[in-house]
Amino acid sequence: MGKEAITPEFRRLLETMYSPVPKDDNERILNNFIDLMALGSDRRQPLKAVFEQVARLVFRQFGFSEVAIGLKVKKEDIWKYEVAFGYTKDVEAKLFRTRYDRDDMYSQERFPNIKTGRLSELNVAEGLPLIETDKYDRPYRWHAKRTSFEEFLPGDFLDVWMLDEKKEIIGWIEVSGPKDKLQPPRSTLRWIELLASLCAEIVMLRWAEEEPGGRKAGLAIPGTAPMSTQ
Amino acid sequence: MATRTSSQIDSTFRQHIESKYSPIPRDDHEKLIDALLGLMEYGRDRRQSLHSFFEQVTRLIFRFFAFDQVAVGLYDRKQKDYYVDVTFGYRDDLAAEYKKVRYDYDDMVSQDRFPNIKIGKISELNPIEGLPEDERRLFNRPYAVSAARQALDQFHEGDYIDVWMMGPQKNIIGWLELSNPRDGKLPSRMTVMWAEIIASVCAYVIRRRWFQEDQARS
Repeated sequence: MGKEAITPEFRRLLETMYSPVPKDDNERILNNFIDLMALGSDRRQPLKAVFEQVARLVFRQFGFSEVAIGLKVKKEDIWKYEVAFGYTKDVEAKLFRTRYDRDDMYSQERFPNIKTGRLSELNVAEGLPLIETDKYDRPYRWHAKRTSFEEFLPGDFLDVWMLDEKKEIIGWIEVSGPKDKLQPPRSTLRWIELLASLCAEIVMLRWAEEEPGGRKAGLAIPGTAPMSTQ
Repeated sequence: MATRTSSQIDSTFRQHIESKYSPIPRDDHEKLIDALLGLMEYGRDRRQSLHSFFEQVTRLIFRFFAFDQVAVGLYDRKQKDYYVDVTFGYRDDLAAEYKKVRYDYDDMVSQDRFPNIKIGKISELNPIEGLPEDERRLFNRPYAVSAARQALDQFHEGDYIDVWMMGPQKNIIGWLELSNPRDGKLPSRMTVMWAEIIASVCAYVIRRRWFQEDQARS
């Protein structure tokens, strides 16, 4: 018994087999998601820093050149962008000034869209309110005619929702400008839906901890874990 | 402001997109993500107890990762120790026995008490070779546990994997315990990573539930 009973060969096999370096794209994605959950769990990290990490991950891993992340203002019916990645400074400033109300977030008429999954929808350029058309890096192009169903036009964007306990939208990941200019594969959308749902967990926990007494929950546990999650 | 309407979306284009992205899972990978989204939704439902959430977790692991035995352990905030809250795939008498065991923090982290090998960011394999004698009675087939390892890539009947659920200060608030893979082999790297995602989600659910419990009490 005891740790000396574990043979060095077996230990070496496990350490090689489970080496922490990701071996393919799926491993890289999961690895990033695990890191993200650890980052979100760290109270010293502001939510904005967590979202910046999410935006970088989506940009790097899923081939979208524009990624924005929005959040509901807690206890108010206002939704706004918190992080924008890959936009021109001008467009970025416009995004950060924008405020959405309940109708904007939920109405099919205001932002016509096509459902693309449990948590996602494609907002197409053809349905975009004119007032929104200045939020593109190349607004002159957004009138472009769709020549193929697989084409992802300037003006198209995908919203992937973060939902809370009451299925209320508490945030969203918005992606556009795929590098190959095509509608993304199903697998990309499913990954981003999982990512958005993990983000919802982070937001809900952070909000709970902001409540009186929230920061105390889970603190009275001895010691620290034997291994780093970072 | 001129508003456009959903009628401006070409119906053939709509059909194309709806069909391409239909939410019905098309392969195992999509089924797993779908199940995880469902699990998180379940964890958010305040009508469901933490215990029943953990039962869902064990079923999901059993179904997708082919471990015949799954247990979920939790930190007990009143007694300030750790216990097994849910078991799946254990003989009834062993499950009852297992649930009586209490672990202190040293048990959770001591390399001497439970020697292990790190196989992920928050997971480790506890091989039979290092298992304390007093823990051997907690196996379905104690005689099989005594048998020697036949091959290095074999998952011995006495091996088990612990995947940690971490608290706010990287302290352990719970764990997943996986054993008896159906193919008898060490699990794939992806399986370990998915288990770590599930354990991370569990940690968030536990912390939120604790907060809700505290709030309801005050």
